[in-house]
Amino acid sequence: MILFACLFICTCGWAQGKRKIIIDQDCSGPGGSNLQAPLVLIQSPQVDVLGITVVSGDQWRDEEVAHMLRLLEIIGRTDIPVVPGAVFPLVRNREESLLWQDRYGTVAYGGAWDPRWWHEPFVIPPMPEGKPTTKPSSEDAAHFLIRMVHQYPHEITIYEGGPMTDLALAISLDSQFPSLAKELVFMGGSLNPHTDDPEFTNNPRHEFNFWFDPDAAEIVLRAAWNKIICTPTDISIKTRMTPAMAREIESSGTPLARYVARYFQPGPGTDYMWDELAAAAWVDPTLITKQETRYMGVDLDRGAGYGNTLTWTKDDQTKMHREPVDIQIDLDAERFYRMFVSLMRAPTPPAK
Amino acid sequence: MRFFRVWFVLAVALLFLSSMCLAQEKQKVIIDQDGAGPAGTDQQSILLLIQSPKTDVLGITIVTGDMWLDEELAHTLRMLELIGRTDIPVVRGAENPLVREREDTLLWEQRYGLVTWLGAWTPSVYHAPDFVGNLAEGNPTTKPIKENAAHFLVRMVRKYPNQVTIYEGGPMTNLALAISLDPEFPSLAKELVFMGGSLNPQTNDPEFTNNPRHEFNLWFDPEAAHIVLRANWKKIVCTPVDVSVKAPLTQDLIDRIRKSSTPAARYIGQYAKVYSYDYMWDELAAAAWLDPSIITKTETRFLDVDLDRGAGYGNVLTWNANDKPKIAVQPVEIQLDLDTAKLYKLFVDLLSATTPPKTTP
Repeated sequence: MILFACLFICTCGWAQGKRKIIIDQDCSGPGGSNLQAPLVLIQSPQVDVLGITVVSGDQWRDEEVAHMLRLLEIIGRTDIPVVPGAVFPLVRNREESLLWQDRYGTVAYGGAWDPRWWHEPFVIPPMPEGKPTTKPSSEDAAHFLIRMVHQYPHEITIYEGGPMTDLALAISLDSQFPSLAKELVFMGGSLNPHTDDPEFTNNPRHEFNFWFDPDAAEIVLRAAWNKIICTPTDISIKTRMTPAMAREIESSGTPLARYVARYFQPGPGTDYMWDELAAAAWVDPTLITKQETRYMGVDLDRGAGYGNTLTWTKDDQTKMHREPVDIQIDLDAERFYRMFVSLMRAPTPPAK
Repeated sequence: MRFFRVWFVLAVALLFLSSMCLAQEKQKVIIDQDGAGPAGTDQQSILLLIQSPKTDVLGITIVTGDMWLDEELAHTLRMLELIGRTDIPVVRGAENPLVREREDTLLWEQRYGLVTWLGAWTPSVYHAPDFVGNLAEGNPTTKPIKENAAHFLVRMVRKYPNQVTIYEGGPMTNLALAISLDPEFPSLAKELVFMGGSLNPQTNDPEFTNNPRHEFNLWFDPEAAHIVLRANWKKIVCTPVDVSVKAPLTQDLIDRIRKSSTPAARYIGQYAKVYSYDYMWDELAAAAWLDPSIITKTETRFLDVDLDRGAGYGNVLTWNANDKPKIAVQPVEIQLDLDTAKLYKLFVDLLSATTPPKTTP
């Protein structure tokens, strides 16, 4: 009886020891960085994913919701709520961005607005991984985010892998939202990446998540978070997923592993592990070998710099108060790849 | 005798049917307002809409603007208590504009010049957002509903599609949030009527002589105004400064209302004041919606707000149909002149009247 009681207390303690996280993501799919990042978090046994809020970015919201639902079905975790967020950025829209590009130059990557694959926002193209039968939550993302941080004050990490529209809405609806969260970790921004990737050679301060909704990013970056951690382009481009990694993952034979391998796209350009690194470094911060503290903002002037990352150090910061950001600069890539592969090969932890 | 009975029954039936029709014709409206008080243009415009027997006020959503959100909620709740209409939901909206910040605005002023009216940010009256203090008209005991303004707005237009007029008397933050949460919100509303914007007011009011394109509501949250003005409303009606400056509030109007002893009249009588350069900003927007014949001249223009962060940040931009930009902008019916006698009569009559009871479904 005492043993049973001890076991019970231990498992309760274990459950309470889990790190709570909400993933706000532009869940483009099938496969790819946007969906692999949530997988890193779902597969980590010490993490409790409270929900996945979905925002337009790399693709449109509705198709992203469908890809996320289908993936959760495939891996047997339909207990995790998928919560629809913003279809459009706060202020900027595609029309304006096209005219802006006529004046200031074409962006290398336009996400849902990219002319190479653009379609109407509410259309869901054919899904090679199959259509989901499960449904998203009837609650909207901003409301869900606010409700959760009030339910679990100071416990929830907000993970942002896409444009920050949903977070900006939550902040505008409830000014207490950022301080009630535990912290913000995000993939976004770009300082000075050392690369010959044409997306960054002429535009070192351009990064898609910020550029797609600059006003939202500025609202979020100046809000009263307890802690902010940034995975910028500078470190993202030091990562690569390789065909060898995909094969090693596939050999485990689980539905998740086979999905990851099947939809893996080798590079160049499509194989950076943007969002997976942000997720993995939150699970294991020792992956990061170099970081710097800066203050971050986004250029909201409507000209050539609209959407660009702004940074300051303590000595030259503006008079406007904002919270410092821990910016990740370098990593132990080999250890990151081993962690990623092993998480993708592992059995999926069951629903609590 | 039989003919008389038949006639009597028909007459009663007709009366019954026409009273039912009258009830069904009530115009549903949600008032989004920076509810500063007591009395003043914000509360007086709310009162006009409540006092009209033609309206069904579904709720009053509050936004920071002339004052901070929390004190405005208190003033609005207290006003409803004093006139006996605590059935009308008061709904908590945005505490801050979307992007604009006070600190940044003070620095902007150092470069581009001082702004006459900063609402809740006015340095001489500035206090922390959550400070309310004791109200001159008495502290309210009622509370706002639990739902937030943006969700309330979306829920109402979905509950009553194509029936709800959105009346906007303050910065447009709540409406912009509703649009971001639900892109169908504007098209599901019946129309948008708002007090805001400024084209070319003919006045010596220093607030506008150097800044004809500056108007507080649009300036305080320019991004929200931009989001709202380009959304696909079925109809947008604008009461700009140009017509506001033709509708001064006078002491005579308040004195006439004081003759009545209804709760609304006593509220106005006790707390309404006339300041210099005092216009019936929001009252005119409300009155013109209740009786469009008050407006004697309108023009259709396409409106937007300057989002560049320099000298023009927050200024109104306008175009005609033949010179508007390539990006979709919406036609707006802009009110330019009015029949002041009609406005004043409506103002005095409605604010002197007994407050109509809650609309029974």
